[in-house]
Amino acid sequence: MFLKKFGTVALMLCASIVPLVAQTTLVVGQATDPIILDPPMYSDTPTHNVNLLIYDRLYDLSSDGKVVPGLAVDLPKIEENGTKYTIKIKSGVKFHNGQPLTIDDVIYSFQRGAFNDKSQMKSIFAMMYDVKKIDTYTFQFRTGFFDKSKAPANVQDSDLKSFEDRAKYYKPAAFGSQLNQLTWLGASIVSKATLEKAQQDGTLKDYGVTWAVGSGPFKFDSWKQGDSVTLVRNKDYHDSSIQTNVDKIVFKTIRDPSALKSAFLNKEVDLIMNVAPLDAREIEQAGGKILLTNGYFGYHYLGFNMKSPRVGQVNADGTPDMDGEYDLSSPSAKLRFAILYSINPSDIVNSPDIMDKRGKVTLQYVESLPFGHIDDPKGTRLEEGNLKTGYYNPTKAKELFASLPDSLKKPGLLKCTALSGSVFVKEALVIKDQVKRVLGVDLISIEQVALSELATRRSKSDPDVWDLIVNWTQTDDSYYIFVAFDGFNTSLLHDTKFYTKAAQEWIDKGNSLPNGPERNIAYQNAQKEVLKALPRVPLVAIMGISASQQNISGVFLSPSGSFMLDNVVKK
Amino acid sequence: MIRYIARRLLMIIPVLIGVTFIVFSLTYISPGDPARMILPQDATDADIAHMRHLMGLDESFLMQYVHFLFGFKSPSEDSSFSYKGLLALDLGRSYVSNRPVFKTILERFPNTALLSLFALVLSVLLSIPAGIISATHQYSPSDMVVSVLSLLGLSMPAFWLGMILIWIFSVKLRIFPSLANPNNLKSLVLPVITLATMNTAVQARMTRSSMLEIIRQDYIRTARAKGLDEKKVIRKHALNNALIPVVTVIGLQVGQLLVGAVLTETVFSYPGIGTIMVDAIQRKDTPQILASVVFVAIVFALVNLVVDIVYAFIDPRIKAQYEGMTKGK
Amino acid sequence: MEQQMTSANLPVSGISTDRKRKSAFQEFWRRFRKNKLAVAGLAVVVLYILMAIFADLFYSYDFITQNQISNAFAKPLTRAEVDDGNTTVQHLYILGADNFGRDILGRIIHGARVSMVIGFTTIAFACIVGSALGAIAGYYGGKIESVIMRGTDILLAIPNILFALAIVAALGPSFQNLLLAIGITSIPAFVRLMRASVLTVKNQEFVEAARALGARDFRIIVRHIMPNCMAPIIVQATLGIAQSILSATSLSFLGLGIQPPSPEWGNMLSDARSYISYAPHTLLFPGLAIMTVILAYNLIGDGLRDALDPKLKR
Repeated sequence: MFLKKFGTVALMLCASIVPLVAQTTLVVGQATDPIILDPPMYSDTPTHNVNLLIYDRLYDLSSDGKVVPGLAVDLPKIEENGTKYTIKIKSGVKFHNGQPLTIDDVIYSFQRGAFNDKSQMKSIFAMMYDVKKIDTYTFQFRTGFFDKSKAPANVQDSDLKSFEDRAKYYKPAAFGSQLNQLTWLGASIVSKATLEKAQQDGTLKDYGVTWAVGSGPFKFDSWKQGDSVTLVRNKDYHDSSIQTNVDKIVFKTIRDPSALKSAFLNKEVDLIMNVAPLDAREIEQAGGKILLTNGYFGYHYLGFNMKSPRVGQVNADGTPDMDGEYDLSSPSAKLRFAILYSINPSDIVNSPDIMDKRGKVTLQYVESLPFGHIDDPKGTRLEEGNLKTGYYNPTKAKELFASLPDSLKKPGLLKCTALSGSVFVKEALVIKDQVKRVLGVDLISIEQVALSELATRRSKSDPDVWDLIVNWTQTDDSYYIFVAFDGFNTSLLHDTKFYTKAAQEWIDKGNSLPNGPERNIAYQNAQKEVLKALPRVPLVAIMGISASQQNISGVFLSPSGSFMLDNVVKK
Repeated sequence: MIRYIARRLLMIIPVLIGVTFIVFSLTYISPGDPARMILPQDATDADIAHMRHLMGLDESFLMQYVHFLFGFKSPSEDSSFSYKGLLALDLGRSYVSNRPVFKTILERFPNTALLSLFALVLSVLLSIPAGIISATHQYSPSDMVVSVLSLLGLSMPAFWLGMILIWIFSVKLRIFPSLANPNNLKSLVLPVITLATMNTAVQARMTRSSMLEIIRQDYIRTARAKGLDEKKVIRKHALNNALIPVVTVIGLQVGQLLVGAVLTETVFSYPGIGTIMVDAIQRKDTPQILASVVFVAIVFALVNLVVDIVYAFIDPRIKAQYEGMTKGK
Repeated sequence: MEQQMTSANLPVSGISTDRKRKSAFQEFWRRFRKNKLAVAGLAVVVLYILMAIFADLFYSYDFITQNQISNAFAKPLTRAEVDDGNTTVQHLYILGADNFGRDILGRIIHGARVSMVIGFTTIAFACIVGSALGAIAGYYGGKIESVIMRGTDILLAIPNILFALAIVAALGPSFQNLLLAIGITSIPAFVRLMRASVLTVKNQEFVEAARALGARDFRIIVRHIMPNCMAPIIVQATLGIAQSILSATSLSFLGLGIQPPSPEWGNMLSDARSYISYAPHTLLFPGLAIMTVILAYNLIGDGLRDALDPKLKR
């Protein structure tokens, strides 16, 4: 009897202690480690997932793609034809190390993102200048371009290393995507005082690797390279409305996709992303939850190198023809169209190994977007295709191909580049096979390259190195302009080096307009123009596939495919 | 003996210099611009040229090799571009993870060493008894079994064996995880078997044939003729002599284990030096490739050195021979 | 040392006539034949070589590289429709289909071609270059020897797959670079063997005699010394082929070898890795193909060693 009583007391004691000791730990499986927990320095999905929790931004994108205030009190006050922004931030916000977050930190973070040698996110701030502090919690900036006429001959835009310097030579211009871009991770706020101190005591070089300080809902705890990153709950988070019962989040690196899947099936991890479609089948059968992005968040394309004499357009002396007009009856243009009509993207969608039907054939470069999606196909190239087999039309392809000179009919004529080991290699293989079947010549040879080499190739577009590229781009609004069309930096569709005057005018117009129907129409018209000359064949629109255990709720996927874990609950 | 060891140590220096030179040249000629890796896709040519300057990539091949050996001081304020050179075990930071490359290697090398050690122990425990039984019972069924198994083991690609083991024991039977991790002993079972198979096969064959050779030799016959118990003959006379070549093989196998680890670790996603290397190669992370290949070559050379020295200790004949000779083997 | 001297006289002697050569071969064949396993190995290799040569008679290259997405992952012995460009025909997938619906058996047969080519060319290259360097080192000694042997030491200091990996990583993955990488890493073994053999042979009487007769160094090396060092080289070459095939499949498995859609065994396995639970047959058969051919070469290597010199047995 006594023993029993003692037992009960002991049990009760335990029960009361357990909640203190037992922590709720969420384990997220990722294929790679994050790269660096310093927002402007790198951005890939595993890095995003972690940085989203450590840092705050002035604005965030909701899961349905709307811009909502984060650290900012409200949406910005935009004046002077959309060229002047005034933003007020919340007071009383603290960084994880206790430093207060003020407007100085915001300006410092932007300055760093815009001008630091290693920043990968300069484009966010590329049009920003004249950034001014109004008071401890308010600041102002303008958007515009570098104006050559204002600057001395020896001063280039890239020589300007601060927003003040820019103010001397910039002229105002509206940039409709600026607000969207402030939701990007590269616009996260870091602590000025902390980083400046680290600069002095020599610990700055390890920032984002062995330590990181943000103001987000979770704090950096530790990073075991190649193994895991651990974050702990920030109990003093400024936004008390978030609801999570998770004390600790471990981002576990599991390189091999099949191992990642097994770990999920064995319930060793709670969440995984970038699930291969085949694995999604198995996960569903085993009772896991499949999470999809809200709509199609990217499209895969086959790009033509427009500097290539075979599929692009060059002058008689071999230099690229960039006059803004394309001769659509030239042999190289016909070869582009012959390839377009040879490709049946449904093979990519239906292949269990590639999409396993979790995606769809697309006829245009943007699928589910606020802007640029062509609603009325009338009078556009869209009329030639359908959503089942794309633009596939073997008769037309053969006809066009037959009219070409023999020099364009040699096996292995076209060198196609794709990221090594990626799904794009598989898609390239499908395309190669289809072109070979329809045209009767094995035109395409595929080369797999590492990411750095891919970047080099995309930026140089050397026609001796590649003619075709299979790749993808996200199509959320701000990306659409930057990555798909590369609005103002270099030229349209920058990897293909495509440029037509007509499309460029529409894009410039779209870029300068505030969000609204007019902006939408401008981008639609731009896309119609691009589809005419066809520097890219749109292949498929994709959804991001992630999986979660049944006991996890409150997880959302951002439009760019990252996990949003602010409100995650684990039962 | 000390002179021999010193000589052997001196001999690996030119070898290591050669190795570093070859590996460095290979990475130097490889396409792809590291400056572009660090910069965003929309970086201008001027940005890239500037970054190349900060990284010391605009200098001549020879200068870059000198930097590689003795260190590089970047003109950038950002000290993360500078490094102290191979001699100080500092080749700067990975282009991908931004961490000092040797730090990553030294963190992960113990994992590879652990895996290799388990595999080595397993293979020795299996192969030597198997080889002895096989030799002392030549042409018996057990000899056949050992011979056939060791031939199979020798012919199986390790990465395939690993995947087959995953299929049977992780996917079908769900006994062992398919993902190996140094903190979980159970998860090491499959990779250790995978890694040990080839070595076990080689060592078993070696033990068998050197046992056979010695059994046939005169002094063993004499011992037998004296009427000594067969077991005693094997244990006392044959085994000691037969083990000398076996020890050498085991030594050489340690090096092979490091190589096998590259494939085994890839199959089991094990966080060792093999996966560092494969990752680095796939991502063109030049400092990491350089550091890991050179590191493995150094370990490999040191292991061979130790084996040679141990060998000289075990076998007095070799020792005498080495000491008498002026030229290498 | 003693062993190698006897071996040197075994297959062909430096001053042999054709008849002697013939009988030496017969003697060798008689011994080799006794080893049933080695003969089985030889049979398997011959079978693979025939398969490689006549691959197109079984399945056309077009067919085995052509996608049949609707038949992806068909199980072994499935009968399904395939589209050969114009019409659809019934096809029996004997060993099943891979992720693109391509016939696995057909790809294994065509893969034999790739592997055989890799095995022979890399080893031929390594054997010629390595033997020449080894012979020069052994024959001349002195500075040339130390340069060659230090070079060999350097090559040996980097584990071979690792070195091949570094070469392919630097030059980019392609068939030629793969051959080059494996060829180069196979050289040192031949250099060492040849040098050791030459050292034992070079002071023998028939070499002295040739030298006395005023023969040139090149002639002495090629006509008199090399033939007498062939036994260990042949054994090494056979085992080297096995090693070379294994290295090639390993590199392809890591994505650094032959590029798809070329059928190559390592490549097939590399793809299959993602489908272990879904389609194990894509994993099983290419691996078996690799295993049998390497086993066969190892058996032949053992047999050759025994037949060429019973005492060389290790």
